[in-house]
Amino acid sequence: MTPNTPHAVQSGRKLLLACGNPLRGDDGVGWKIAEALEQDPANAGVVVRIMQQFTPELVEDLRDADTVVFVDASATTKAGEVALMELTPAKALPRIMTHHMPPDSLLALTQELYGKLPRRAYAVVVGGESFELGETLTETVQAAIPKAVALLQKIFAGAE
Amino acid sequence: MSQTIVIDPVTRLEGHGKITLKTDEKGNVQEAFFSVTQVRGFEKFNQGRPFYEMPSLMARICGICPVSHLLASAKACEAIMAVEIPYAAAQLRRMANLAQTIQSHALSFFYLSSPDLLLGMDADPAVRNIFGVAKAKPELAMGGVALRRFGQHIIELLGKKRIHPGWIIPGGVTEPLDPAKRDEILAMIPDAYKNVKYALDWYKQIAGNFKDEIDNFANFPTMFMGLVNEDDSVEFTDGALRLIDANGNTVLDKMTADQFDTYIGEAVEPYSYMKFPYYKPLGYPGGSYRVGPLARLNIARTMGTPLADKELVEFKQLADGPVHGSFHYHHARLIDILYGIEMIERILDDKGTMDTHVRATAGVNRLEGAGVSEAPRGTLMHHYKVDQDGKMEWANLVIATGQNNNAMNRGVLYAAQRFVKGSKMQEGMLNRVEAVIRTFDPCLSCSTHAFGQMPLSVELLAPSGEVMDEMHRG
Repeated sequence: MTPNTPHAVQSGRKLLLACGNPLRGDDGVGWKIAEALEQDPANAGVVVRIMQQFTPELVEDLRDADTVVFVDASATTKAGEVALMELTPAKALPRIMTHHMPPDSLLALTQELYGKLPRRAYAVVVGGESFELGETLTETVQAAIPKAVALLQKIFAGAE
Repeated sequence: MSQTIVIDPVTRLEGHGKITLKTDEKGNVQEAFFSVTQVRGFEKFNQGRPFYEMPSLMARICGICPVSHLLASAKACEAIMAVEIPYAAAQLRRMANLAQTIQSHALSFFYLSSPDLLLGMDADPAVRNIFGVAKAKPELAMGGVALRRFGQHIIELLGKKRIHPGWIIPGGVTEPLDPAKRDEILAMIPDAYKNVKYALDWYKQIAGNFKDEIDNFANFPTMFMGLVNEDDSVEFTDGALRLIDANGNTVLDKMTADQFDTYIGEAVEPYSYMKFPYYKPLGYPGGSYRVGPLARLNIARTMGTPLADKELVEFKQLADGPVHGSFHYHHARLIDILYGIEMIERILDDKGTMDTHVRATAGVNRLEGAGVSEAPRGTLMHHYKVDQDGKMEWANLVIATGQNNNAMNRGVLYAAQRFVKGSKMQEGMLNRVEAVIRTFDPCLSCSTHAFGQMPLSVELLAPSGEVMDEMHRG
C-alpha cells in the first residue's frame, strides 16, 4: 500500500484527499476508499493523497486543482450511508486550531493566499458504525466502499 | 476580591493545557499554574510487548514529532541489541530528524506564533491567526506553508508517510535512499532557503517591537541542556549531552543516554500530569533547566554550517553569555530551520548516504537500553528494560516539553503578574500569558499526553470556588 504517489510533489487537476485513522475501525474507511480508487487504472488521472489529518500545507495542492474531493468517515451520518456535500470556503475559522484544518477552512486559506479556488469542491463521507481500536472495517461500512468509489468516479468524470 | 482565572484550553498549542491564575484581594496575580490534565499511559501499556515494536508504538505519541520518538526509541532498542547502525542509516535518520524539525518549527513559527508577531498581541482574535497573516503578509504565510511542506515531503519520501512513518527501526532503516528521491529533495532546497531567509529578515526587523514581551516572557536565568558534538557544534541525532549553567559554564559534559537517570530526576506536582525533570545534584526546583532551540544555540559554539553560523554569531550578541529571554526561542527556531536545510543538503551530497547497507541485526544482548535525540522542542530520552526474551518490562520517557515545564510555569506567573489584572480581563492580556507558553512551542500530546477536545473557557473563581465571571472563546 502506498499512501501517496511518491517521487514528486503531486499537484493535479483532479485531486482526492482522504483522511482518517486506520487504527480506529471505521475511521479508516477514507483510506480504503482512496486505495480502491487508486488501484483502478481507469482513475490514473486522479492524484490521491491519504493522510491522518488535513493540514494547512494542502493549500498548495488545492491551488492547482480543478476538482477536489475530501473523503472521510463520519460519526454523525447513518452507518454505511454515503453522503455527498458541496463545499464552499469557510467564512470563519474554527475557534481552536493547531495543525489540522477542516476542508472548508483549507478552501478559505487557499483563496486568501493564492486568489483562486478549485472550480468544484466536495466532501464524500461514509457513516461509521464503530470507531473502536482495530484495523478492520465493520461489514456495514465495508459494503459502502464500492458505492463511494462509484460516486467519486462520477465526480471526477466531470472534471476539466 | 481574590479570584482564580482559568484559561482552558490554551489556544495555538499542540495538545491541551490549562492555565490557572490566582489573584489576591487587589487583583494582582499571586500564583499561576500551567497544567496538563490528561495522561495516556505510553510508559505502561507497552509492558509485555516485544522491544522491537517500541519505535512503532512510541511514534504514536505524537503526530507532529513522531520521528523524534522513532529515533530515541530505536536507539534505546539498539542499546539492548548492542549494535552500531550502518553509516548510511545514520545519515538518513539524521536527515529525517532535521526534516521533522523544519516542519515542526514551521508550524510553530508561521501558523501558531506569527499571528501575534505580525498582527500584534492585542489584535482581534478573529483575525489573529494564519488567515490574518495570509491577508496581511501573504509571502510570509506562503513561505511557512512551503517550509512545512518541504519537511513533511522529505519524511514522506523517506518513510512513505508524513505522519508515523514506519521506516526507522531498531538497527537502522528499512530501505536505502532512491537516487530519484535524493534529486527530488535537492530540487526543493533553493525555495526552502528563500523562505527561511525571508522569515529571518522579517523577524529581525520586527523583533524590536516586542521589547516588553522580550523582557517579561520567561526571562530569567536557568541552566540549559542539549546534544552537542565534540567540536562544540550543534547536534540533533547523535553526539553527547551537555548541561551548562546560567553563565554558560559547563556543569556536565559528554553525558550519554544511559547516564540520563543517574543525573536527571523527575518531580511530580499535584496540578499536572506533566513531570518536572531536574538536575539531581541541585535538587528540585533548583536543578531545573531548559531545552530546545534556545538551549541548543546557547550550548553550541557553532552550528557547523556557514549560513546558520553567521546567524548564530548575530544571535549570541543578544546577551553577554547565554540568551535567557524565552521570546528568543522564536529567533532560535528559524536558525534551527536554516541549519536543517544546510545539513540536509550536505547529507545528500555525501556519497556514503546512498549506500544500500542500512540495517544491522541482532537479538537481545543487554537487558536495558536508553536512547537520546533532539526533538524540535528539545532533548528527548527513551529508557527501556526487557526480560531475557526481549519483552518489555519497564519504560521511562523524558520528554522535551517536560524539561521546560518548570520554566513554563515560572514564565506564566511572571507574565501574568506583568500583564494580567484580575479585576478586568482583556483578550490581549490573556493572549500574552498564552504567548509565553507558545514561545516554548510545547507538545503537550507528548509530554503527558493529552487527547480529546475541550471548549475554551476562562473562569473567574472566588476563593470559595464560586464562579464570579466567565469568558468563552468557543
